[in-house]
Amino acid sequence: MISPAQAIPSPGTGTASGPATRKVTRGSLLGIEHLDAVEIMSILKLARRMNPLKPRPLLRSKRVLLLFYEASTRTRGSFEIAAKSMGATTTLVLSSGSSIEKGESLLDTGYTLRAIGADVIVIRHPHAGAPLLMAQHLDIPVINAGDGMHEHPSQALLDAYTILRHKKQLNKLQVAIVGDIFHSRVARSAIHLLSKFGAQITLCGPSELLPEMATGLAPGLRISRTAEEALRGVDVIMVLRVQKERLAGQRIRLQDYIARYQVTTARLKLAKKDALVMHPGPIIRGLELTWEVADCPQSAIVEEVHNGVPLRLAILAKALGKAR
Amino acid sequence: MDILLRDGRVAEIGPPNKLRGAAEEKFDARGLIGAPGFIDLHVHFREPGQGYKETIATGAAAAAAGGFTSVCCMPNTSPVVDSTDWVTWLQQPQRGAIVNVFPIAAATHASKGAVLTDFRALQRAGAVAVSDDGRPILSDTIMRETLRLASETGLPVIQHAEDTRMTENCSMNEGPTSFRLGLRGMKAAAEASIVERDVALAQQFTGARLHVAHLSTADALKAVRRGKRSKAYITCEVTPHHFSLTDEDVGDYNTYCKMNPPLRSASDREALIVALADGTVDAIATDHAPHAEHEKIIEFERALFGIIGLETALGLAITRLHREHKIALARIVELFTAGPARVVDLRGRGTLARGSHGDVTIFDPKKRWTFEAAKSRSKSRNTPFDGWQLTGKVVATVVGGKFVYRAD
Repeated sequence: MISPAQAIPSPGTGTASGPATRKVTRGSLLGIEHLDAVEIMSILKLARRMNPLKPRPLLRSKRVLLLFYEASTRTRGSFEIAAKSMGATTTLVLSSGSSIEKGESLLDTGYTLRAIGADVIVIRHPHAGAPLLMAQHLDIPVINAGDGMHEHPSQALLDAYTILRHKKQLNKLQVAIVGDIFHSRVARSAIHLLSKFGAQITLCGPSELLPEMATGLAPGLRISRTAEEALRGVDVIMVLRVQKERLAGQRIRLQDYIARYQVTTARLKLAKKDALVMHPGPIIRGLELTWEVADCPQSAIVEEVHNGVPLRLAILAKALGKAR
Repeated sequence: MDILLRDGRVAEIGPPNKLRGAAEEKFDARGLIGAPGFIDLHVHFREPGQGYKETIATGAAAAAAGGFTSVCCMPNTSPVVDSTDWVTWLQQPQRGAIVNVFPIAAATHASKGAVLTDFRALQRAGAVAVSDDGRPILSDTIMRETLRLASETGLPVIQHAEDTRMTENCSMNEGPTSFRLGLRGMKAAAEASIVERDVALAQQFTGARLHVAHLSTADALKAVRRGKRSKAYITCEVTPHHFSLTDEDVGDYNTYCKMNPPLRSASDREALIVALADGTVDAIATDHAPHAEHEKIIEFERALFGIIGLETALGLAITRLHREHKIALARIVELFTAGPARVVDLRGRGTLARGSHGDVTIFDPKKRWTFEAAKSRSKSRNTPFDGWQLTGKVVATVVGGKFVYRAD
């Protein structure tokens, strides 16, 4: 199942106890880190069997709650379309205009949504770990649609899905992830996923956006401080946006960043001829990549968005136990 | 050895069955250790203002169960203890404390770091130190003035060493775990830089006493060692959680492992254990920080900092320091007694010399037991040590010649 195998520490000296050691609801998708390759593969295979234009009405009479504490275009839209096209009703709750503004706690909001009949909650939240907290306390599955700088598992899954439509396998694939990795939940999820399948990952960015400790995330990660070195000979380039809204006091000189790390046509030529250019969006043309690269034939940026729907069909079907 | 307590004082101490004078009540401590009453330099008893987390009475009961006969209460309550009225209030019998309560007064008004409080008056009212705990004094000028004025009174200045300009929005230690969890991390340097500055400032004033609260990093220890070699009077304390856990224990957002200073790296923890053994550290202090569930069972970044610690301190010290790291029991007792007594100059405490206060902690260093948070005397349950099997348990606690706690 999709829920991470949460270790319940046995009482004894050495393992800290606390509220975070509670079990999570079955069917939840909280992150990639605690999934194994078999679980990931089963979601990808299910997505492949889904017909996004005419999916089976697997979620008839189900209520999908979309709880968004942060802005979203792609993720929210594709979860909503996926849910509706399988026959579910969806309700959108935003932090503004709801009781969250009046100071209601995350868990109380969760209990409320459960009480009005939610069968699954899709949550995006600015605080890392918020979906996990909810899944530990509610008896319905919780799907993480992005939590702070932590994880964005559905994005990593749709990226893997997209890569596999162009490449035979993830194993031994050379992948460069370029940009603001520190602030990126997409990067963390992608790194976990790709490394579980044996991809060779090079992270590239300035030290403010890519601290050395990033290599602790998965075995075999390499860091490169020049785009030229990172892109040479790779099969896949994942470009990330510089998240100005999360910089919190750090000063990045954008001109320097562009000079050293922007993915340009010239730099793209260093990669394999059939290298895939990916970006989770939103893209800022002229900053992390040039206009030409965003629209080049190798760009899978629009395709990624498109693939978000079958992937989220699969995630929702699994969460509600409707997957065959 | 036998100990005879009379009129709240140690009347005599000597070899078994050799003491003169009859006792009304006897306690057979064969196989146990009778130590001077433990002193905790750092507790948050939440009164005035936040009695829903802890009251002085419940905090003191937890202290007694943990073997502590004296506690020093940090002033970051609501309102802040920055006046003689509040210092007096804390010590009144109506508070219901069954152990000795020694107030630490704020160094600046409302701990805002701007205007110094009246140290002499606060000292006369009973304050044993000044501190803006939780709100470090960042301004060089104010810290210099604090140390200067305190040096004239002999009061120690207790600093929560954290350059908060470097730790904004941070909720744990910076390292591979914070990166994995997507949490902003506090750099070790944010602690060390303040300790270094404070040590340098303390050397400017004869008689100044600087005490570093809950020291947590190897680099800050280096600064303390340098300070101790100079003529300045520098002391420091370490908490049981910092010598027992590391930042990896945060696991997947365990808010019971969220405290400030945060749990640090394994190498920091090792350095603390070395310093506890070699005498660099003067005291084990709990930083007992009770919080209600609604302040802890929330998003990690929003959860309040701190854990309770009074009832697990001795067990952790014996389990981690004595059994795992072979630190002598005598040294551990010193860290709970004579060490902290020297830091805040508690005369006649931390010792069992004839004439000293009749505060005694009796413990069984070999007793294995399981700590159950649900049975804590504290009002709060925020501890990562629930269910831990510990070695070393308090059997009885005596304050001023009277039993205030006996194990079942």
